[in-house]
Amino acid sequence: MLTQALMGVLDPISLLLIVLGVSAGILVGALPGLTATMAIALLVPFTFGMAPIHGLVLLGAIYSGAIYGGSFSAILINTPGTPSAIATTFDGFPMAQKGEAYRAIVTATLASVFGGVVGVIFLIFLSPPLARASLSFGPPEYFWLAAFGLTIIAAVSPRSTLKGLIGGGIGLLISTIGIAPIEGSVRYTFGTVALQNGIALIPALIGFFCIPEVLRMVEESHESGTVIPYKRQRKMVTRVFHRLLRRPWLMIRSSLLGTFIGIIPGAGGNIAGLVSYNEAIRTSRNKSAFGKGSIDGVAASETANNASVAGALIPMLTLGVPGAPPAAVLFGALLLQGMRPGAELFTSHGTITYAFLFSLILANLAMLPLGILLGRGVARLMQQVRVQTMAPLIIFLSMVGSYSIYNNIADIYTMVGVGLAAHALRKAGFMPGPIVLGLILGPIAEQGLTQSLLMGRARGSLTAVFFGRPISLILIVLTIVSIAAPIVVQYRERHGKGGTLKAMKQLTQEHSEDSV
Amino acid sequence: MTARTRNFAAAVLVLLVSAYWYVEADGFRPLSRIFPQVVAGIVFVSALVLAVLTLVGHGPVIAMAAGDSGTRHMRSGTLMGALVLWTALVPLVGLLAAGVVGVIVMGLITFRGHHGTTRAIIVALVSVSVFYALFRYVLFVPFPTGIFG
Repeated sequence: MLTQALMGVLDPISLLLIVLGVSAGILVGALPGLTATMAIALLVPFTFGMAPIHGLVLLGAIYSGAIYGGSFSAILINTPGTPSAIATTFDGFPMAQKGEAYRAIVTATLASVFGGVVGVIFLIFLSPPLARASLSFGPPEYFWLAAFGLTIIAAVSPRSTLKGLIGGGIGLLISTIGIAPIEGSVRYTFGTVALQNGIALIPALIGFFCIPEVLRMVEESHESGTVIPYKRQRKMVTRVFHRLLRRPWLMIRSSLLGTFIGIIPGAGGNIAGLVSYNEAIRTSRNKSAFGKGSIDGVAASETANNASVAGALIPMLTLGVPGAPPAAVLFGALLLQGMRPGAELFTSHGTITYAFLFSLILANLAMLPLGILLGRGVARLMQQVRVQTMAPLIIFLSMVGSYSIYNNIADIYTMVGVGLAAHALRKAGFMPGPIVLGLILGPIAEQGLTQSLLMGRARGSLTAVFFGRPISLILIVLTIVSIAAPIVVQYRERHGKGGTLKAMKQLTQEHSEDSV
Repeated sequence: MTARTRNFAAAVLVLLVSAYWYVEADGFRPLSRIFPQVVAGIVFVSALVLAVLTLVGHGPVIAMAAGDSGTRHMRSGTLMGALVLWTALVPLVGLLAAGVVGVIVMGLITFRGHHGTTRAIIVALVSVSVFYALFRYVLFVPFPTGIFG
């Protein structure tokens, strides 16, 4: 199986798709306003007609490339191309101002490659045992898993835990539209046949992640900032490589933080980057250098945010709980290819799954030559392209993409309706991330709840079913912790003990609209 | 609209929707209604807390973009209207014709006041045609053609 997977990813088409995907991802990530999630959502319909391996390889390459691409605008115009690159601006832009833009870009590139590869290694070794462990999950465990997923995403919501919770609830409510999984009542369809199968996931995801972004880019209508020019310098890659080799703990710690923060639903690359940056300052002997153009600052942020890409895929591939919005769209792409997350993914679909995982390593390695070679061209495009000019095209692609999956015009209505609703909800402070997670976790939670109720009735004890199993108890404790943690953090903030967390939350609020 | 008004309006809207979801579920079979009613109940209570917190001045912060909000909202509102019209046109005239009209209208709304509007619209139209051809003739997607079918 592993040999076949390796052959699958080393075939010329896969290699070409990796190069194209990473290049396109770098460009998308570098242009502020275009997000990795949007790029993946728009591309899912393209991949529908491809072989599953090729489709997933392309989407994975774009995801990795886009998170790295965000560092270009962070360094050259002090605007993170994706929220994952927020912490990169702190030292990347000061480096560029000092005439060290190329050094900063090379640092970001090497750090992204290192973090990305370490993250994928964890993904490859952690996912199969976790997927096997998921076989011991019954309906109660799945119910508590969904509850934990929703409370944790509410807890890490950048604006408000309460709104994160309500957002997740809205997603759950939307997921109840259609024929009920047990007893088959037709629910909330308003007499529409098209809604009987529920809200179509991919058109809904396209609506959630593309339409509000387009409306926002038209509303804000900002001109691109002045790009700091740079020239390639000989031996810079070698010099930076040797410099980073002297910081093994910084690199390893940032990779581990990125991977494990990525695993937490909702805590994407932005939080990974900020936490890693904060840890780099805390453990540094030269704290005063940070914020003034420290190479360690750029390395810490970029290592962590690219490691979080693989981290976000771990719960998605093993349990069906996406760790970040792009992973949620990849979840939809997997379903579209007839692949359901869980143990089956590593057995029946093992060749495709491992080929996808191996391709992520190649995609991360490809970022090194592509980032260095394409960098100056990307910088020129950042200066010349107004992202607003892409708005009509993005909407057209959203329509075409939504329609082409099932050749159903109702999917266009779903996409537009969901998109406009998501825009209104965002205006009111409800971010798409929790809503989408609710939409994805809704069926898991409902089946878990109703089947557990039936099991409880059959055994004569609901308590034993819901609270009497070890995995359920662990998940319940985690759920309680995830609810209690924000309250503790708020308490510490009020008493002046949570400065770092408060600052991080503010930074995330300033730069992030929950788009990754 | 201030952040406080937005919070309160959002809370009221969520209250109404969750109440509807709860009441409507009464008509479903027992195991089909448990989940929506549990979730609607939690959302209702959360929205109530949000409304109360907003009223007493402790509502969550909403990021309000800087700049001329009137112009921004006007452009955004017009764009949303155009998007709805574009969608309504699809079954009538087909995806390509609706796309051409939609791109021109949206281009005029989006690029108004910027240099190179005509060029931007032409580039958008060419891109739309290329992607349409890709889906139609390479991926063989049978798009609706409306009256042109």
